[in-house]
Amino acid sequence: MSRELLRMSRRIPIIALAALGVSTFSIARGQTAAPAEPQAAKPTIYLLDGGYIAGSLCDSPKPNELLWKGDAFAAQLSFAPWNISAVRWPSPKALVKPKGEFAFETAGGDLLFGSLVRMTDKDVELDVSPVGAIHLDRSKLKRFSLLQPGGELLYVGPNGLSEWKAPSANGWKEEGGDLVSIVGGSSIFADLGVPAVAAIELEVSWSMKPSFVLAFGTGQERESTRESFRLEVVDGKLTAVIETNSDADLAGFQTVDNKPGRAHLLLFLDSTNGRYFVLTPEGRKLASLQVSARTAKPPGGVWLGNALGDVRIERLRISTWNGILPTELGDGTTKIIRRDDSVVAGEKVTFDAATKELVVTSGKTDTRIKLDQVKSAQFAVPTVESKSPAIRFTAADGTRVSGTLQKVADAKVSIAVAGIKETIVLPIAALRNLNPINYEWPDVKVEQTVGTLEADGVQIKGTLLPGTGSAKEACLVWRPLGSSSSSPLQPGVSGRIVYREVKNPTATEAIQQPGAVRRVVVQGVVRAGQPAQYTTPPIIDRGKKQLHLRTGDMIVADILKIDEEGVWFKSSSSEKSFVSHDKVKAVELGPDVTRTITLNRSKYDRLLTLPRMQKDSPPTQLLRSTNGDYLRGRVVAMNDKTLSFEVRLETREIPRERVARITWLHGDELDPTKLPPAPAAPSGQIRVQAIGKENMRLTFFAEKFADRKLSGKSEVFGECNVQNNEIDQLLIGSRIEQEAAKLATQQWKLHNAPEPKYVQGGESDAGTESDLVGKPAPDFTLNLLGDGDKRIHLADTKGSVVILDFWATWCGPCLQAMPQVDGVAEEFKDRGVILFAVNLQEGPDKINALLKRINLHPTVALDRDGAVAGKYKAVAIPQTVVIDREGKVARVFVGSSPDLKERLHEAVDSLLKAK
Amino acid sequence: MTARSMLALLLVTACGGLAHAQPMAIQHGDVVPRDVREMYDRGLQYLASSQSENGDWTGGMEHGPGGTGIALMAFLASGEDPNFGIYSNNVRRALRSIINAQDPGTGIMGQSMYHHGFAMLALAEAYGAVDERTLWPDGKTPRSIGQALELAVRAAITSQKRNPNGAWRYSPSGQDADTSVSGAVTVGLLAARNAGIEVPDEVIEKAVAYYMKMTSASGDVAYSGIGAFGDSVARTSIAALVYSLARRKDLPQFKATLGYLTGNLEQNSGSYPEYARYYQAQALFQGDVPAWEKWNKLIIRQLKPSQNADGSFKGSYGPTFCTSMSLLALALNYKFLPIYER
Repeated sequence: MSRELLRMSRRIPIIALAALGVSTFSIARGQTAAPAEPQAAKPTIYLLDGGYIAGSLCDSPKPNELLWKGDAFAAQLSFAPWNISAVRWPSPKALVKPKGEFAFETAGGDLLFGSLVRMTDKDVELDVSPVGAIHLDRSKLKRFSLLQPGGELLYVGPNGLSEWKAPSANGWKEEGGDLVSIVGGSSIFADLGVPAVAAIELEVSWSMKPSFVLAFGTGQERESTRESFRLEVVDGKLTAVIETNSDADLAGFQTVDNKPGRAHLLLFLDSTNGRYFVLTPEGRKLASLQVSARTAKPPGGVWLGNALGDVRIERLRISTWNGILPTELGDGTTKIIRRDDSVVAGEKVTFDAATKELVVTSGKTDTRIKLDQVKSAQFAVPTVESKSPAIRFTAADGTRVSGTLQKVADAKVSIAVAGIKETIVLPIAALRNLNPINYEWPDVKVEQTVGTLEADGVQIKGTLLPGTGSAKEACLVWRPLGSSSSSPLQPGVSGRIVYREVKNPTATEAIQQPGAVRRVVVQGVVRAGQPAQYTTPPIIDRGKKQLHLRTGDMIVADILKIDEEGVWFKSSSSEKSFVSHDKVKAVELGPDVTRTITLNRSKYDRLLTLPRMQKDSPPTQLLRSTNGDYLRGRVVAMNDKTLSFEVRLETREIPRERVARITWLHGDELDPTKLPPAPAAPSGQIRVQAIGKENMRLTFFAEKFADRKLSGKSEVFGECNVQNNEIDQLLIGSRIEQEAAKLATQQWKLHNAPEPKYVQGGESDAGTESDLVGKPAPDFTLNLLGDGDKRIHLADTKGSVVILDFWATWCGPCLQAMPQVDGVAEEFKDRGVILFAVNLQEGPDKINALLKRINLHPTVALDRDGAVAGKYKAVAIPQTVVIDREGKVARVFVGSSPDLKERLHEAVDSLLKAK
Repeated sequence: MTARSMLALLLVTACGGLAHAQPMAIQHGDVVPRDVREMYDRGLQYLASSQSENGDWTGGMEHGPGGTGIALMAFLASGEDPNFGIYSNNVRRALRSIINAQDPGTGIMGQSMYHHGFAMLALAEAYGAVDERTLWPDGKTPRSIGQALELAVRAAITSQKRNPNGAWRYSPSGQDADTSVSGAVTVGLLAARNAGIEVPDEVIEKAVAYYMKMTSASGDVAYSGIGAFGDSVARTSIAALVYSLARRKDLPQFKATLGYLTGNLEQNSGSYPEYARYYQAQALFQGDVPAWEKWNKLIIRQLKPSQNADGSFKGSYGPTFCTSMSLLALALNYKFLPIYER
């Protein structure tokens, strides 16, 4: 055993969390929560606890074995049907219409499409697509009907989100082609061409709480759903609703409560006659609504809204309807319905293949019906709800077969179906869904620390098993909870294993002052940045001695010295004691910070803005003193007493005890595209970052996992041995960089000052380019500079031409512009022109001193919090705004130029002449 | 050399040493930063290996006696003995190449007055330092270094006389002028005068007057024509250097240019960084040693990563010119060339 200098165990007390004892996970059926974010575009297997793995179904000779090759895994994983809730394949791009003359339904609820070949007392021979000839036990054939009884199939779906628009907050996602929403108040819409007289088949389910509105024959706006046919949950009942301008009708038909549930419905909409029906797939009428006929053709859209719960649309088929409801077949008698809707009842039906006639025997009478005259046939067979475990396979064309999986071979599944002589063979390519049904869901025994593995297309609970890395397999071997098998991860995988959620260091440096404007003086114009979005930078716990690396690594360490090459440190977590500058992000030197620092937003921004003139000589470090001061510069050296720090090319000596933290500012952080790539793991190793207690983080190349210990080598710290039960999270591959980027320490990055926008004199800047121009001038009230509480309320100035000159004393170009603006205002003051020099965020003393110096005395309005500048989008000053007598913005001039006076003069003059 | 170093030391002490006691060590000339020595050695090795048999450097953008002169300066500035040191052959070859390139009739060296100016400067720095007895292997001497330099000076004066601005442009017979070409020629003339060649005061006065005219109160120096001022570290450095070498530090224009430079030490050097740094180094050294020291630290830091594995420097010209100019930006650390005297 190698040295274990980097044993996290020394620093991290063992946290007992089902670590070594045996705990039992009971997973009840129906607990299946909506999986988080599986990839819709790839086949995905879903486990009982909501976990999922994107990948593909592999050949397996064993019955009832699902061998699954996850994309993130190096080997196949074996699942039994009782381990999983579903496999879903992406929906085909184009509509897959079932082929054949009839749809055959079995007593067990299966559905096959094809033609009738032979029918005797004992069995039925069918030629079904894409299986071929099958022999079905006669007692299993419940009915068959014309595939398109008076209707043309228009839409089969859903096929994922791409065909839908999200008019309101987009809380919908797709899972294996299904449309799922767990976000209340979200809706999606698609124009699917629902005809005025339509037949719709819908399968909808929910896992927690049904609270939805599904509208058919509607426009995109929520308002237009009011006049469409809707399925809603009303008072705990699934309810069909139709409203017109003059009347309304509704009928609740299925009680639902806050439990997982589903509904499979046939909807028949006839807006031309105001008739609407909801039927079961068996033809039992659930709801019948009647309102006055609609004269205008209704729109063809479908609107799916999740009000407060969750909803999943699993099947949506839309076809035209001939207006005739399917005859209810639920009475259980044998009867044939002809295409003219006449009914022939009998006790027995056979098929004369020679004459292609059905022979219906009633008593002693035989009635012969040509098969091509038959619309549907129903047989008196016992409808037994099967309780035996099976897998239901659903194909893209709607074919549904339930049975035992015999084997998977040559990309085809072989299914033994009770009552069918032949084995049904379906190509995997034709499948949409696979769902185990009627299984007893087992208890899962767990003997190891259970974590959740997250990777591209994978989110799955499980345990890490011993493993040694190789070129094709990482040493991280994962056994999903519920699988009898395990697989190493692919060496190149990116993701993480979560044992406990990690709390990132919290920020104590409050950054506020939202109205503040970033100021950088550039040629001609002072640019003020838009309030930037950034993460609040932190102070890491006080009094800590820590070394932070750019990879996010953090260890507790004494910093011994810093020299030209890098940082020398001492840590019980590292066998090495040196790290080069390019890898370091920050060091906490340990002295107590005596007061809490409030780093406001503009200070923070200023600290991290790199002036243009310093581009070739950027500061490389940022100091924070123990009393909260910050200083940018370059660390020349540091020993146990003194820090030599170069500021603007001059070196200063600073007592080390006054320095709390040094943060490294790396040149490549200025341009994220130039960030150095993460080092590639040597063959047989996988790059991981273990996150332990107190956010301690270690990145290393893991070589093996054995004795519940992950071992490898860190480029910086040397040998690493980390106990599995001390890991809160294990980041894998490029996820390390993604997570590091979120860390508070890593937010300290320089950004370039904006490049100058040269305001060219004499160019055709007429001041009309701003999008403020033509719009009502934003109203405001501001205090005026001078005695008393004099205020200006812009709305009170209506009828005058108002000039607003946004400026500040520190803004050189503003001072160039001000005499010009003042001159124009002075010239026109007798003609109702008012000037307000709106000062940004400065105090009266400063302003008065400046005005005295330049000998100008305009009326100064005090925009103390920058809010008015914000309203007028004054991101760069000087900005001169001209407001017309109507109170509309007429011109916006940005910057100072020699001809500003001329242009302003022209602008004001033309406004005055216009009246 | 010793005497020169002593002189430099005395001047420095008088100028600004009192307020800046701490960095004095560097001015003694005995501590050349290790980074400089390493970069310089590798750079010279590159130049030595890329020199042609004829003594020039071909293929680069600045091929010709000017480019050869700048490279020769880099060798001479290193302090290696030009007659017996490891680069003595390179020095002799380069000198022969420059002299061979001189038009015996007009005295002009190279395609433009840039070449002429830089080549003249190199001749002036070599004059008296390089042993003429071993310069020509076959003993056939077209003309001595001194003769070549004198001829070159006369050519430059003739060109200035014909120029209405009293300065120089690319062509020897150019009728307008610019502060960049004129810098190369003026510094060459001042070096020749330092080396003992007669350069009439009037010539230098006219050149200085031209620069005064081209310098704004803020220290900006225009390129050509009148009033077209704009930020240029290179031009401001050239003007500051011309004023210094011409012993005109009394001029407000000198103070303006130096103020600009010391106030913008960290300013990036613009479009021609190697060219700018070459002059910036000398201008700061001549004008304000403490400021040069600060700047020098920065430039070492910046140049270090731009040196290629073969010793050449990355940059906007060909490798020879970039390498020579970059080395000369560092050469003030050695303070060997006469032109660096303060």
